[in-house]
Amino acid sequence: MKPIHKLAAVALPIGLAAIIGVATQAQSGVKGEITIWAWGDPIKALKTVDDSFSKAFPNVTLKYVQKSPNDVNQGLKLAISAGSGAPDVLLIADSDLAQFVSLGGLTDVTTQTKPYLKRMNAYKWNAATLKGRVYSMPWDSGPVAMYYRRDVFQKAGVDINSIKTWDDYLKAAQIIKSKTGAKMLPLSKARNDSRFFETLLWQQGIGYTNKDGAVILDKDARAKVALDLLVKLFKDDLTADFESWTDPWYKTIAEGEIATLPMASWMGGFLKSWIAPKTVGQWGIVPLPTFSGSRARTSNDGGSHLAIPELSKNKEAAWAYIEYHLGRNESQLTMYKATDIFPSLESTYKDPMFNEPDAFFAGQKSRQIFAEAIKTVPNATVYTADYPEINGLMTLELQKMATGKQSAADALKNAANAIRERTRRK
Amino acid sequence: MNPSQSSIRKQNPMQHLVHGAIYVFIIAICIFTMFPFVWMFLSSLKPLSEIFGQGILPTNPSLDNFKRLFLETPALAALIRSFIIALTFTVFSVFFCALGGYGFAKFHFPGKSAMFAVMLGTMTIPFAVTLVPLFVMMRNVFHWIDTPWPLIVPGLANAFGIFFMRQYMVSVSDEMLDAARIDGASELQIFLRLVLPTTTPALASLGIIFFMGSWNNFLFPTIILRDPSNATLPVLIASLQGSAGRTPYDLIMAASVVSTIPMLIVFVLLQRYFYAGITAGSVKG
Amino acid sequence: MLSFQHGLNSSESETPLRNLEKPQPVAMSNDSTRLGLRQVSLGHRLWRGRWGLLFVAPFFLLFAVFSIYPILFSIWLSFHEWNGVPGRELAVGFENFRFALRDGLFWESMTNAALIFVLHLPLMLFLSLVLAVLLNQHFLKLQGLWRALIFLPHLTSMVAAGFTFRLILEKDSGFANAALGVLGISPIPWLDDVWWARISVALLLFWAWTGYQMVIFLSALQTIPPELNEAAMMDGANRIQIFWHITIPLLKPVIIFCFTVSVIGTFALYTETTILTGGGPIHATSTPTMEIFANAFLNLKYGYAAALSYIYFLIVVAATLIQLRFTNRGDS
Repeated sequence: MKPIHKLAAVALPIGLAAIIGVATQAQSGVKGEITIWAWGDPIKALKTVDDSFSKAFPNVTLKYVQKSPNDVNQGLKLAISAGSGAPDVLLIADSDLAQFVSLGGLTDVTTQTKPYLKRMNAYKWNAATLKGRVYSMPWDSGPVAMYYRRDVFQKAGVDINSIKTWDDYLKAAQIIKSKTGAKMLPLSKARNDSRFFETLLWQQGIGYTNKDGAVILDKDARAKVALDLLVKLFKDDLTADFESWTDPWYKTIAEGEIATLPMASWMGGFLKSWIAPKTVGQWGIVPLPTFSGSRARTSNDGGSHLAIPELSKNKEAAWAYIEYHLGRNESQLTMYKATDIFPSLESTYKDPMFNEPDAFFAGQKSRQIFAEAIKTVPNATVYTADYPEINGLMTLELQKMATGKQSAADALKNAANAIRERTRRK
Repeated sequence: MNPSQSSIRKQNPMQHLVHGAIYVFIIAICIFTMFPFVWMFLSSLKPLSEIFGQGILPTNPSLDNFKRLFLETPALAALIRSFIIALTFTVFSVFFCALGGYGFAKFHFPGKSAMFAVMLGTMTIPFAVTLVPLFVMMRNVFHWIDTPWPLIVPGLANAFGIFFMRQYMVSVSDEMLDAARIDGASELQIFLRLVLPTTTPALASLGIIFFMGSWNNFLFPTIILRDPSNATLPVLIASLQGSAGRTPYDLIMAASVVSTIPMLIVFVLLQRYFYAGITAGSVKG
Repeated sequence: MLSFQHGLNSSESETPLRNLEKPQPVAMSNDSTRLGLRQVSLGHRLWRGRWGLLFVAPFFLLFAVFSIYPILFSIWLSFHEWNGVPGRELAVGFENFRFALRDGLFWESMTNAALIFVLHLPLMLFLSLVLAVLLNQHFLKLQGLWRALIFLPHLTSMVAAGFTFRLILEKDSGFANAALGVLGISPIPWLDDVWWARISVALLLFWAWTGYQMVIFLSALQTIPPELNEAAMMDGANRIQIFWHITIPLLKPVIIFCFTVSVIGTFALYTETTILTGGGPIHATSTPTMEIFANAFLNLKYGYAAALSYIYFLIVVAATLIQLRFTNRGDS
C-alpha cells in the first residue's frame, strides 16, 4: 500500500489537472462551495442548469455574486495583485480575457479543455491561449448578422435580399432615408465606441495587429476599407448619432427610426427582452453584407468564457461546474433557449431547436441563421492582451474623424502610431 | 419745495426699482441653484420612461423607486455604512487634529518648526500623487481592500485639520491653562476638560467639513470598495450605471435623493458651523 | 521656511471664531528659546517638550505612514514599470518621464483642465462677489435664506449632482433643451460636442462653487468697517465705484485664496467629469486625475501613473506660484 500512497503524493501536485478530469466522472470526490462571479443575463442562464448540476454533483454548493463586467474585471485585477479575494469561477468577456491570461491570474486548463478543442468555434481559443497553454473555457460566441426592420424596408420599397454588399447597403440607405426618413443604423460620432469598426475588421479576417503582434491599422488596406465605410455612412448622414447603450439609443431602435442593426446574436435576446419588446414580428435577420472580395457574410462581436482564478481553493469543483455548464449540449441549449447566449459548442447546432421559427422575427428561423454564420466567422484576433487600451486609442481617433477633424487615413495613421508608442508594438 | 425734499422724492421710486431688481436677480440665482435639486426630487418619483420625458412634474408620483432601491440594491447597507464611516472618521480626526493643533499652539519642542513646515508643505500635494501608492499599501501591506479602514485611518493625519485647530488653540488663554496647572491638573486633563470644551465651535466647524468630505467622497472609495455589497452611497450610485441592461436612472435619482437629504438635515441644524468652517480656511489669504 | 514663519506670525493675530484678546506669547518668547538652545542638551529639551511631542505624536505617526511614505513610495514607483503584480517591478530610469513629455493624452488633459477653469472661474468670481455685496446690504430681507439657497449646491455629492446634470443636459430628452426649445432655440449638444461638454462641466462647477465663494466673500465683507463706505459716499462715490475701488481691493487676499483653491480644484477634477461626461467626447473633458486613474487602474501602468502624478503636481505648483507672484506684483 505504501508505495501507492507515495506515488499519489507525487502525482497529486503534478498531475492535478489529469485527476480533475477523472474526478468529473467520479463525482463523489467533488465537493465544497464554489463562488461564481458573473453579470445579469449570464447568471440567469447559468442558473437554469443548476438543478441538474446539483443532481450530478450533490456535494457542491453554488454561490453567485452579481457584478458588472467592469467590476468583475477590476475585482480580478485586484485579487491577482493582492493575492486573495478571487472567486472559484468567473465569467470573462472575450475582450478582457487576453489581458488576464497575460497577467497570469488564471488556472492553466490545457489538459481539461483538450476534449473540447475541436468541438468549440476555433477562433474562440485565440484569446484564451498563451504560449500553447489554455486558460479558460469558451461559453458563447458573437456571430454577427444584420437585423432589419421589416416595416421600414417595406415602406421604402427596398428588398432586403437585394443587399449583398456594403455598396448595396449604402444605396439602400439612401433610398430608405429619402422615402421614410429613417437612418440606416445607429452610429455615434463623438461618442463612437469602435465596436462597429472592429466588426468590419473581423469580417475581413484581421484585427488591430497581426500574428507577430505588429500594428497593421495603417498598413493593411482592409482596415482602410472598413473605416471608409464609416466615412461614407457619416458623409451622407445615413446614421443616427446616438451613443450605444444609452436610453436615446434604445429609443431610436425601439421606435423604428433606424432600418438595420449589424450586430451579434446576443442582440436578439436584448431586443426581445428589454430594448424593444413591443416590436414582435417587425424584425428580420439576414447575413451581413460583404466587402467586394471578402467571402464572409458575418463577423464576431463579443462573447465570453468561464475561467478559474489561480487563487481558487476548489479548482476541482470549479472545473466540474464549468464543464457541466459549458461542455454539455443539454446545458448549453437550455441556456441558449433562456437568454439567446449563443453556444460556442458546435455539436449543439444540430439540435432541432435551431429549426424553430421565432415569432419575434416574424417566424424566421433566427437561430439557424446564426448557426450558419458561425461556420464562416474568420479566425481573427481583435481581442489582444492590451485590447482595452488599443480600443481606447482607436476610439479617440475615430471620434475625431467622425466629427470632421481628420481624414480616415490620418485616423488610422494616428491610431496606429499611438498604439505603437503606448503598447511598445512594432 | 427745498432741494433735499425733491431729491428724496426722486430717489424713492428709483431706489424701489433698484431694490426690486436686486430681489429679482437674487431670486433668479436661487432658482438656478435650486432647480437641479427640485428636478432630482421630482425625477425620483417618476418611472424610468418618464425621466426621459421633457416634463418636470411627475404624472403619477410614486415612491416605487425608493422601494425598489432599498429592496433590490444594497442601498440601506450603503447608507448605514456611509454614515458609520463618516461619523467614525469625523470623531477621530477631529480629536487627533485638536490634539495636534493644541500641541503646536501651546508647546515648544525640538523640531517643531520643521514638523510644521513639512506638514504645511504636504498640504499642497494633490491626492492624485498619493492615490496609487496608498492603494498599493492598502492592498498589499494592510489588506484593507473592501473594508472601511482606508476611508478612516489615512485621513486621520489631516494637515489641514491640524492647521485649522492650531489657529483656534492659539487663542486659548494661557492664564487659564496656567491656573489649571497650578491647581494640579495634568496636561491631559487640561486638554480634555478645559481646552476641548472652550474650543467646541471650532471642533464643530471642522467636524462638519470632515463629515461632508467623507459623506461625499468618491475617488478613493471607488478603488477601495470593489464589491457592491461593501459600497458607500456615492460608490453604489455610480455602480448602478455599470449594471447590464438599461441604466436605472430611476434608481439613481432615488439614491441621489437619499444621499442628499442627510446633508441637508445636518446643514439646517448646524448652519452657522458650516459657514464658520468654510470661511476659516480662507482667513489665511 | 520664510513663508511658513510669516504664516505663524500672521495667524496668531487672527481669531476668526472668537473675539479674544490677542494671545500672549506662548510659554517662552522666541528669544528665550534661542537662549535655551545654547544652554540645554537635546535630551533635556526633548524632556521639556515632552507634552507637546506627545500631543502631536499620534498625528505625526499617522502622517508619516499615510502621507510621507506614500509620497516617497510614489517617487520610487515613478522610476519603475509595474503592472501591480508583486515581484514584477522593473526599473526603467527616466523612461516614464520621457514618455510622459510626449504623451498627447496627458497634455490634452492638462489643457482641458485649464480650459474648464477659464470657462467658469472669471464669471464665478465676479458673480459670487456681486452676490456677496448684495447679500450684505441692510435693506435686503431674508438674507439667511438667500445665502443658504445659494450655498446648498456645495453640500451635494458630485455623484448625485453629476447624474442629475447629465439627465437635464441630455441632448434629445433633457430638460435644458426642452426649455430652450420653448424659447425657440435649437437643441444644444451639451454632452456630445467638444466645447459644449467643457461648458457643461464648467456649468456644474459654477453651480457647485458659486455659493462657497460667496460665503467666503460675505464673511470677509463683514469685517470691513461700514465707516469706510460711508466716508466714500460722502466723497461722492457711487456704489459701483465703491465696489471696484474699495471692496475689491480690500477683499484681494480672499479673492486670491478663492482663485488658488479653484486652480488646484479644477486640475484635481475627477468625480464631476467621470459622472457627467466620462471624460468625453473625444477626450475633451478628461482631466489629469482621470488620466492618472486610467493609467494605474485600467491600463495597469502603476509606475507611469506615478510619474504623471508628479509632473502634474509640479505644474500645478508652478502655476500657483506664478499666479501668486503675479498678483503680489500688482500690490507694490
